[in-house]
Amino acid sequence: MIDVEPMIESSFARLLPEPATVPNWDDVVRRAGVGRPGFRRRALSAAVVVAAVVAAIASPLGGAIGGPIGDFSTWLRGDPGKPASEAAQRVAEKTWSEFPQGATLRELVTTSDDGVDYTLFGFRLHESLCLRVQATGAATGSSVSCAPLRELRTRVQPVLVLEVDQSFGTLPDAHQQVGPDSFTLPRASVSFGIVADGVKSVELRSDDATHDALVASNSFLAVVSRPPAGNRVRAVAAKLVDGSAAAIPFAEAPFDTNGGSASHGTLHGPSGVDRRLTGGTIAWLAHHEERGDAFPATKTPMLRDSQLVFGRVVHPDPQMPVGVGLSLTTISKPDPNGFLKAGTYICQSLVDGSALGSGCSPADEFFRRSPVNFGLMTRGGGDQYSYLFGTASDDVTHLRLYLGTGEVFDIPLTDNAFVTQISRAKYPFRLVGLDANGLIVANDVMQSENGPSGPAYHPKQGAQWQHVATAGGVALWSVPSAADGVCWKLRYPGGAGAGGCTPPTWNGALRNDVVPLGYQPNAPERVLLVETKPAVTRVEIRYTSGATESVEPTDGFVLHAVPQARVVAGDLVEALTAYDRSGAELGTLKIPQPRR
Amino acid sequence: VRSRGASIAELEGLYRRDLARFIRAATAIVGDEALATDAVQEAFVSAVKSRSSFRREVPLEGWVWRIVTNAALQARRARAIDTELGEDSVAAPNGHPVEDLAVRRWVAGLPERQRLAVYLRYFADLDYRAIAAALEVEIGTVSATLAAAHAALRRSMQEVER
Repeated sequence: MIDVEPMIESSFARLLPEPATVPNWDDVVRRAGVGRPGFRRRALSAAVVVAAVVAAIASPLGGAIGGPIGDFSTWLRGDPGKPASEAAQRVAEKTWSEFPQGATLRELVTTSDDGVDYTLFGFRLHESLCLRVQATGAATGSSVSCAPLRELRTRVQPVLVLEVDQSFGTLPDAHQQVGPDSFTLPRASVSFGIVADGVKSVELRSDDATHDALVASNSFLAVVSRPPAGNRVRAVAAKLVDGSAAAIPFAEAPFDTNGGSASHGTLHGPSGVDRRLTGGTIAWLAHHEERGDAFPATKTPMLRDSQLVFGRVVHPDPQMPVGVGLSLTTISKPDPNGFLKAGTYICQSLVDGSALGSGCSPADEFFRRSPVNFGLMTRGGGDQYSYLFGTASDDVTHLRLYLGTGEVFDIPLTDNAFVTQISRAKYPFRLVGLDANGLIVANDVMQSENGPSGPAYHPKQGAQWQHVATAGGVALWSVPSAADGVCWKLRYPGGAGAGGCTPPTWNGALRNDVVPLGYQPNAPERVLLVETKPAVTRVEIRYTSGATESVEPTDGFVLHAVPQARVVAGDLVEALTAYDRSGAELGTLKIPQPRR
Repeated sequence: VRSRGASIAELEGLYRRDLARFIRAATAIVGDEALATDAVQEAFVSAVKSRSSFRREVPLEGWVWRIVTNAALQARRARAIDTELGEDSVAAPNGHPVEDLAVRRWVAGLPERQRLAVYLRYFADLDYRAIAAALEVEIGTVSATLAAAHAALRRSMQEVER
């Protein structure tokens, strides 16, 4: 018999050699709307004029107006920094998609390091304040983040972080192995934000060291050149001229097992609903009423092989530079992969000329779960602000947002749509929908955005990922977490993986991290992963046939490959029982069985 | 322990590590490296946007491969001509002409699902589990598909040898 596999591999290697590719992740995140948002000047119509007038009235002298210590008066009533050069102003007007016409660009901080020049600029965008860092030289690029002015008006802390750990450039051929994974190293990472009057210094504690930020023009800029892979800011502190100090809340940038979203606060607001609704409609959409602006159909692909029936872009908050796109779309034949059924769909998206992010549901299911259907457009990385946007059914007349800090504010609801900015450092939040009688008809909670973050979700400083065991071709790596728990990764043959972190304390003797059996019908996993308490010296695995196997934990884990014969026979792991050194039973863990 | 949703960092890690594999397999599907590169970029844009819908019941890699495969198929449809590795679409390779001809004939003659499985196995170097996730079929189906494809290639080789 001819062994065809080596022949296929060698032939394919000749037919299609390895492509010479240049990764461009920045392009991915930008187009996904999670990098630098692509505001279009198109969106800056009447609202820009309003904002410009407000700014002119608020800043009659155009100069800095110092306020009390810890106050943001300089930002709210003055213009920190100095006017940017004419050349920089022209570049901003011509090439920065987010820069509003008629705005004045301010230069706040400049610095150079490792062959890269950095300039931090500031400008107003409607009711937001934007900072943009520009890098030139050995690394080029820019990053912008905008905070709503209400954040300055209500801010308790004297520093408002806008972005942390934004990478610039890459070091050619520089890779760092983090456990089983290899990461490209950036040339620099940059953090920046706004500081109140009277702030003397801003200190950022990262994994590698504590860094003093440059503080000038009521702003801070911190540059870390050639940081190690996954180096993240873990704490920010400010010192004021009166000698006081403040810890500044912010959301870490995600990396590896750390989701990057912060839940600093506690859940506020009412629980439950007063009136339960199922279903719901948007009458104007159903009747094809032309609310808002025309729908940029060519720039907003919603569903593959679908037909746009009707769509509009509404602007629920004139102070926001983005709108909400709502459309009716039909699919005439179901997706062969079974993702989409045929029928009419309602799609909603965040729109700034093209869709930044969108989601579609069958029209009859759009409000099935709740009369408020919302999405979060994460800019990703270390940007501290996300867009919360969505649609409410005709039953809802008011929306109220309860932040983890206890702040409460109403979100404008116009033409059934809403959009607002939310600080990623103010999770969890509760979004409540009220009907015309003031009854709660929607109540949704978000605990975090990209997954939890904090000390329990990243490695302890200086700790290295260690290979624990390999079974069935699956490798297990672990590292102590900064909260004295453990983080772990599984790497399957071919590179796929799973991972997570476990808190330092948990109940029972055994903890099942990866559901070992199933979810793919008739394709049971062959590898079982269980965490064990230190007292556990032996684990007995019991199969559905009644057969048992006995294994010993390694470094608090049992990674066990189910024999192939059992996999083929469908003899699945049913339960695990832990025993201590004396043979005493410590507990049993039942394993969920696969769906059939 | 996170059980749903993929993080941007995970997707970035996968992108940076395996971009060449993604593009190579997509090129096989699309028939054009530039279009395939665009399709892979587009696929990752989709993956980032829809990362919250990822369920960890399947490997992340398989989920992303499914998106990449669909994007590549879409790009090929948009291109409107089938320029996969058919006999006329690939320049004659240097060396091993008999084997390569057989492989090219074999690939050209495969049904689409089988062809995708072959591309994912040999261009992307995916294991059966990841291929199953990418194609949304059972692992056994992947195994059977590739076994049938191998048998067809053996027959093709025997014909060449005669």
